[in-house]
Amino acid sequence: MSDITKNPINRREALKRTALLLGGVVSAPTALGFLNGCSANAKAEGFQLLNEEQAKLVTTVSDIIIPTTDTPGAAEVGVPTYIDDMVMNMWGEEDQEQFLANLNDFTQRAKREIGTAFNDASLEQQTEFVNAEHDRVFSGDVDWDAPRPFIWQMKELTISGYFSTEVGMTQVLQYIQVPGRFDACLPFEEAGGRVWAFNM
Amino acid sequence: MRLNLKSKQENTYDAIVVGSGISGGWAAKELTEKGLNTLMLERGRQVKHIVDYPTATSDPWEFPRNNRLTPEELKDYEKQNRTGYAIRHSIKHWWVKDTEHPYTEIQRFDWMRGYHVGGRSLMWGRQSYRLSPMDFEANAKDGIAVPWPVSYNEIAPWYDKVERFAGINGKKEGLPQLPDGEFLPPMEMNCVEKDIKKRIEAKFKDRMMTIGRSANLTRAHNGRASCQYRNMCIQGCPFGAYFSTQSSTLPAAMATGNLTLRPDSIVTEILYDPETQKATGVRILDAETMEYKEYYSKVVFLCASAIASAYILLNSTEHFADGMGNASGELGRNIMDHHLNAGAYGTVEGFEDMYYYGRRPNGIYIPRFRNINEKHPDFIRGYGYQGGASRTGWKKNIAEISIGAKMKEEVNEPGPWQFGIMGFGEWLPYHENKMSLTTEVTDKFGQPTVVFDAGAGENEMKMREDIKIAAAEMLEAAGLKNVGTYDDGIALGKGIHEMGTARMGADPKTSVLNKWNQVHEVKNVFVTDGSFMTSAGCQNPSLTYMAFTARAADYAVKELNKGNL
Repeated sequence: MSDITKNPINRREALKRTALLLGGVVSAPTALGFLNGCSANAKAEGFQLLNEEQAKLVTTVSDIIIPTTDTPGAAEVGVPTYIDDMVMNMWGEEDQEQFLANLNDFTQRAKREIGTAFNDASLEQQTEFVNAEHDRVFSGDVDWDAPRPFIWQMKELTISGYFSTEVGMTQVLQYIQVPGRFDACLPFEEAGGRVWAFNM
Repeated sequence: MRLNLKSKQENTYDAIVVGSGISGGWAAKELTEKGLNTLMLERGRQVKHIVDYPTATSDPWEFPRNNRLTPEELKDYEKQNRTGYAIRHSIKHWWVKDTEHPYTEIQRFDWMRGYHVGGRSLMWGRQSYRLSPMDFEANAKDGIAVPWPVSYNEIAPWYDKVERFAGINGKKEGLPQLPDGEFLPPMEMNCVEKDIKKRIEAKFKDRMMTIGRSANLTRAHNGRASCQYRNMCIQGCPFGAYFSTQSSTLPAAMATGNLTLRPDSIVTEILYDPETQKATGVRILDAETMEYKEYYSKVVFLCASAIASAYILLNSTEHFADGMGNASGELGRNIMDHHLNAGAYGTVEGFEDMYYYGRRPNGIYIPRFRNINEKHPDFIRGYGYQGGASRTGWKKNIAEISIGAKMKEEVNEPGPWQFGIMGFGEWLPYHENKMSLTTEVTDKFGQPTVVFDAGAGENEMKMREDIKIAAAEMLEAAGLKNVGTYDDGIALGKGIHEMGTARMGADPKTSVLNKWNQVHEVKNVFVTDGSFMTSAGCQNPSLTYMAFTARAADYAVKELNKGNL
């Protein structure tokens, strides 16, 4: 194996270089996206994979998927860095690249739809766009075999991240470390009226 | 003699117990309680009850990445990760790193283990069932391998004894294929399980469903607290509410004042005196100092696990070219396990307003029903099912669930009840299923390692088909919907019930141990872990190891007192 396939950093560098070399061939928005996405090497503070712009977008989208209500939302409980961590450390290189490409695609679509960069839009515009993306993918017949677009990946990651936090498990769902007894059968309301977070 | 007399005296005990898991703990308890000055050797690190369970009171959100390891982190656990559940941040400290403890597979073998005081008594599934008279008679009846030299009636009082001490919960059912024991009160089935039980028993006259029998205390017992229904047993129980070496046998042994526990002591071989034809002790490699040391005793109890005890015997070649106790050629052969990871599942309609409180560390059990009264055309022996009913998390799938504030409400609409069962099938003892040692691959201590060449036979594969079909039939008859079967593949070792490597039998020409777990050729060496199993039954085997260990210890002390050892 060459260094390029073995080392993710080198591979990313190489892809970036390829994109620049192919600048004339790649369509303008894609090239722009690539530059937006990849040329800013500096990671956002607290993030391992995402740069400032990407982190900001992921934070906003996750917080639209699970917003603050009477309980904290996704951003407040650390879901954005969870997503960054999972994609960086748990996903294979190809899936990682795909996630970034999907993020880029989402950015392009947002710009076309909203007329301004997603990160510069108002929360209202952002929410409207995220909902539209969600409906586009999930309303009607869902294609379970198709490659999963950004909104699908974000929905999954946000849910798995949020409900693996103390807030998600104890304030939204319910969890008790030491139940102290086992009641085999009782009405849902008497069992706390919420779904058990840790249902082994 | 390289050692001077004084140091030899200091290193001399009445008994040496090799291993500190379920069998070693029992050997230590019984031998020390009978007055023997006993040394327990454990190859792994010290683990003290409660204080050395680093995650015992951790909550699930305390572990990074949803408790999963990264592909990079998993590289150390390539084989240990095969169970799918063992290598999590919450419990990975209980499993060896394959990179430090390699082994070779001519055929796939899942050797799942941990090197620490308590061994797998800390991580075991705690299901506790007796073998039945028909299990002890099976080999003789079928003409398979060799007959058991022990009958159910001989071992029954020892089952009574170990159950009373360990604390096994369960319900008496009066079944010939699954004898009742000295049970603590049973745990309760949830309402869906109760309903399925009724329906299965109404449709199938030869089948029944009972609550699992497990080594979790359903009331305070022998100074240990009752189960708190956390179902976090494997992280370590701060209440000592399940049976482990640390919670149960080790404190009893320590209380006698007769036990010395020496962790970080890798037993490499058993020492032997050809004049007396007895073992004189063991040689260890100190895992900390990397120095070899010798310890001496009148009796040696090998309780290191079926694979590790056979390893030590095979590696004791100073006076035995093929390994100690291997005149029959059966040492390291006849490896068995239970084959699992096949069964059926389905969803249950109704009970939508019902739920439960607490996490029961136990499931349901459908005892063996094949080849009891009628002979199955395709295979001999049988299998039991383990499983349970639970409510799935939230009802809506990833596509259906809303995003936004509404999601927080929708996640609290519980999903349907589901029910699943998995077969635990008997694996026959095949002479050709063997392990051997190699020096071509060494572990991190430079020691020889194990080579496995063992697999499944036709009987296992045919039984497995029936496990799936019969499971689906029962679930459909019980009115379940969306019934499906699964088979995640048969793999020797994956049941973590490896056994049979030094089987017992009446004839020294065809077996390694006699009916008292003594090595035929070296009478003061007893092997009481899974090695001795002449056949596997389909019941989870640890309770049987406990009973045979207690019986062997009793016999050993009596023989010592008679001057026979």
